[in-house]
Amino acid sequence: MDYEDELSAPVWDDQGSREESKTEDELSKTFANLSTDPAVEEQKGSGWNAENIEHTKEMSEAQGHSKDLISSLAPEEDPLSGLSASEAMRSPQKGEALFGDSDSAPLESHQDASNEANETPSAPKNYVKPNRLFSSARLRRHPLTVEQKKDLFQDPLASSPSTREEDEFVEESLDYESSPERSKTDILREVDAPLFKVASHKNQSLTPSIKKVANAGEDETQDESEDKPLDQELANNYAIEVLDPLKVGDLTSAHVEYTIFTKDKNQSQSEFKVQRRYRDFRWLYRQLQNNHWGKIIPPPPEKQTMGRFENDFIENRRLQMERMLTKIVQDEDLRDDADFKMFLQSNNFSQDSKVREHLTGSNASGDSNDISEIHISEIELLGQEDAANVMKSGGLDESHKGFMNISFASAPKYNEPDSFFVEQRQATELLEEQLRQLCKSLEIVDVQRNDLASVTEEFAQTIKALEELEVSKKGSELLANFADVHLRIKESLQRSTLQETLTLGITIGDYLRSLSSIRAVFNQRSKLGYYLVIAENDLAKKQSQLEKNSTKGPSDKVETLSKEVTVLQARHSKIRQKWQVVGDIIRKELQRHERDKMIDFRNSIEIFLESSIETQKECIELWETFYQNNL
Amino acid sequence: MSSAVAYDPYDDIDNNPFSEPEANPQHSASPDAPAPDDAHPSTEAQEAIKDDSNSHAGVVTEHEQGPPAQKRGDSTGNFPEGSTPAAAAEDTEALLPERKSSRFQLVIKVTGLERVGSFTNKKENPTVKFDVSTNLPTFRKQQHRSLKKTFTEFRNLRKFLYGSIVGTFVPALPPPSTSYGISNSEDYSKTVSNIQEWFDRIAADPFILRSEELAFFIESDFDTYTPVGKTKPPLSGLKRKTLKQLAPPFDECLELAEFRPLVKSVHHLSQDIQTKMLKLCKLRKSLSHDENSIGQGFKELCIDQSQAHSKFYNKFGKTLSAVGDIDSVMATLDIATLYDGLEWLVQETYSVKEALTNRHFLMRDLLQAQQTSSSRQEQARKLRARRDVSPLKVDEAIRALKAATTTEHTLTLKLRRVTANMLLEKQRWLEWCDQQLQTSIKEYTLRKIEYERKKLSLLERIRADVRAADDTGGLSRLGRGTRMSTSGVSPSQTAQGDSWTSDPRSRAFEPSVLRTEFDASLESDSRNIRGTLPEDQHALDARSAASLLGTSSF
Repeated sequence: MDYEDELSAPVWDDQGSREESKTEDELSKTFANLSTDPAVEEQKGSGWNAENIEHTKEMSEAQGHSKDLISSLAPEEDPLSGLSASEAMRSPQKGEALFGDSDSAPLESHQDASNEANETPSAPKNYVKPNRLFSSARLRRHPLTVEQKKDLFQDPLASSPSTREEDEFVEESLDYESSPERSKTDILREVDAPLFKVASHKNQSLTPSIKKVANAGEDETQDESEDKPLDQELANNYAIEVLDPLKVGDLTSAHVEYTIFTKDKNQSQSEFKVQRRYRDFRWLYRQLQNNHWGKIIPPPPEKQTMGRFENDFIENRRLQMERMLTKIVQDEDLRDDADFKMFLQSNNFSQDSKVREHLTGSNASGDSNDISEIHISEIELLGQEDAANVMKSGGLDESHKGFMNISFASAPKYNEPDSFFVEQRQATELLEEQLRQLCKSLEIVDVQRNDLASVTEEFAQTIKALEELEVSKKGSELLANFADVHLRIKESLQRSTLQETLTLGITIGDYLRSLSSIRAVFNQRSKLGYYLVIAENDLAKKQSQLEKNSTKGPSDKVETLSKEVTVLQARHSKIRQKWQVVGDIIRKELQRHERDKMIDFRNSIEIFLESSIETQKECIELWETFYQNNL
Repeated sequence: MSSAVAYDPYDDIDNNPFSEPEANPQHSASPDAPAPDDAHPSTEAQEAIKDDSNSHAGVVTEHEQGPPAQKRGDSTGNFPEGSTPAAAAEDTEALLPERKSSRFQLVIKVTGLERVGSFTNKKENPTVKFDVSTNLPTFRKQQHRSLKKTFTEFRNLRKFLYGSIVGTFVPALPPPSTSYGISNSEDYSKTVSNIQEWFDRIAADPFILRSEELAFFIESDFDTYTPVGKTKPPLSGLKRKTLKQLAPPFDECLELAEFRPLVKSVHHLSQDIQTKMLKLCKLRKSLSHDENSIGQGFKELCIDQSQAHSKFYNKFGKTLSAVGDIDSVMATLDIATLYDGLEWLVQETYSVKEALTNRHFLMRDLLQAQQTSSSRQEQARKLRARRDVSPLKVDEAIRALKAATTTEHTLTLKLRRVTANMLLEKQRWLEWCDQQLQTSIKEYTLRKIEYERKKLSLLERIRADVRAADDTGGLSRLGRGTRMSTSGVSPSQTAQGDSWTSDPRSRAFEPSVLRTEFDASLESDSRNIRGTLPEDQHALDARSAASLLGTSSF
């Protein structure tokens, strides 16, 4: 293969180039070997999937035949044994890290230790991949030879493992460089690649440092969806950014538009760039709420009338909306929602959104301030035709009154039969109250910390003034340094305050808003329950009428009545079914939400804790240094 | 510091133009001048001895500032009018005979402090217990044991000294209580050491030492002392205030002329710093209150959360509360160290400033006296020019002229003495000022370090719980695996130094920072934590224990 020469040419010079070319050779031969022998490939796949060490060993022995050159080059250590050992044992080790070591056997930890010992000889191999990554990226810039193209297209399996590995890196660390060059086939292959799990694991284990950097933003995703890795992979392939807040419009219609940049790695036309304003995010929230009853939709930030154009506020809002979109992407149902797709992609949003809103009857633009308030769309509830009928008679709850022409003294009341929902609702309200308190305390502390910082600065300035009197040389030096320490402490105080708002503050804020979203879900349930009660009442009345009339014998009236009864029955069963489904969804969603939030919370607490420990260390260091130098 | 030997830069310079070498042998052999440390007896020493022997003979009035100077002025005659700076330096020795001799010693050792009675009395008027040993002739006994004096008596003494001794900076009294709050050991030791320091400074001043008022003070019974001598404060009340408004008279001694504004700015700036500090501490206290409420919020959070995490929330909340408490403690300590130190400095600068103002008044008096004497001289000349002059009138005029000249001489001398002494005092005072500032900053820093370390150890203790809160927690999220989590739990501050730096600490590590006052509240309902942490976790190995014992803690 002639491109091997090119590959080995641009080598990073921080590694031993001899080793480099050796491993390069080794890899290329492996791949060549694989491409010629699909049976081995098959074996390899199953071996990895089942984490079968023996299979892997066989495989590596098969590889070994083509690599006797290398073993002769480095006879003192058998690279094969190192390779097979590391590959075979890495997987369980990875499992430990991911699943928390709760069930790891002592044997495995022993392997772990031996693995560490093996790591040193195989270390250079670990860094081969970045090299390949860069060289391959460079390679693409050259026009591919006909032979290579043919190779690529005709024999996808042959290059699959290698491109997989490359792509893993390209996706995570060097998005901008490689994505425009990625061909459609690459992506497709990526999507249905059966080995992706292994590949990602391999990457993680072999180059933990790189993985750490690349994956920092995706930790949450990994944690929560480890049981559905495919889902996680898809979510990871979505990159959503809310960028460039821009104030547009004149005085009366001034608003801020944000650019949403989406990159979907699963699709051919993978990049979208659209302009959305805050109102559109609210629309999205309402629309998703309407489309997915019972689901806890990540809520948008709160409305605010004053100071809408201040930089801090805009930045804060931008961050919150970005989080909202990322959260939506993490949920597989919401991710594939048509309205969400439209939101991300449509260039004519104001039109499209109205059309969709009308079609679904979501009333999404008639958005109230309170996130927890909901609107139940009749179309969604009853289906197209029946909804039209109901709408004609003035809505579901109106139909009850409209039919009798007299409004009852008391409207029928819905009592939640399931104590689970009642308890959860109460718990949610309690939690919301507590969190609100906490949020308030945090805000106060934030304000006070800032005050403290400014007073510290004043203090330092006064000390400086005393120093400038130069009462004595030594004394003024001491005072100058003393003032300096205070200034530095002030800086670190400001930093830690910012950190605190960014971690705890934002998490609690998020939590609070999602609690309103939860309340919205409960509202949906009770509203449906209310409709159910109405429908039941209507049905009962109609039936009694029917019975009354049918005793008098068949007539037109009886016929229409019985027709109406069947309609009502259908309506009733529909509502009942929806009501039940929503209940089930809510249960599931609550569970998931609780877990997610717990993880979120704990993560931010940990970040907060670690950062305050670091601040503390910095502070001690400052004082110790001051003490040492001056006293 | 407890030595009464005053620093005298001219101790061994024997180039006085006025010295009378032939007088030396007789006087150094005089029986009441046994001074073994007087290696170079000179005329001045001799003069001093004369002075002292006078006082020993019971002529106590000799020691009120005026008379000795006058006497000296009379005996040595007029000083050359325009003395050069070099000559002035030599004059210092001649002008301040008290500085020369260091025979007299007063050693006072504060042994205790009692706070009794009502709260204000406890706070404002503690009783100081001390031992005295001296060879001053003004004292009846050489040794006094366990004397008791109230702080009010101290105030009286100081007031008297300030009024009667013009040429020196009488040290201001330290605050009677500290901001640690009364009746705790920190307050006790700090106040005692402050008073000790004050006594040392008193004993180091030759003028104060020679004032018999000190003896009256010490030898009077408990709580009976009132100033015996008559105080005549240079100027007081409205007149003082008015005169202070005027521009200061021309000062030929540039050093002192510049000194007063300097002291004044130090005074104001120190006060400024104090107010800023108070503000800072008030803020810090309210901050700690709110930090507490955050902790409380977290504690409440645990009630309805699932059982697995409630413990964690509870612990986290408690830790936050404890951190808040530490902040509040730190605020108190800040006040107690730096604020109190500055407080003394503020008092001191005020008294120095007033002493310098008194010198200005003296200068004014001198100017006036000069004017009077010149007008008298004019008068006398006019009289002489006239033919028909009554001898009676001439006599009167001459007497008036003589009186005026004498006053002028007295004042000139007095001013010279005061100026010379203040120049010396100024150096000492600046040193003290530096020292005071440094001490309080040092204390402040040490306290800060101690409590910041405690805070760190508190935070680090919760770390393990946060990481253990769920299975995916901690470093595993960063792909570092589980093996790191065990090593990460150990505290980063040990006897071997801090884990985050390789710099050796100048002080020995104090294991006390790993425990705080709030541990009890943290572990009150999580006993199992104590089980998992072995008691000897912070125990020292033999080597570090030896190094701990071998070095001082500062």
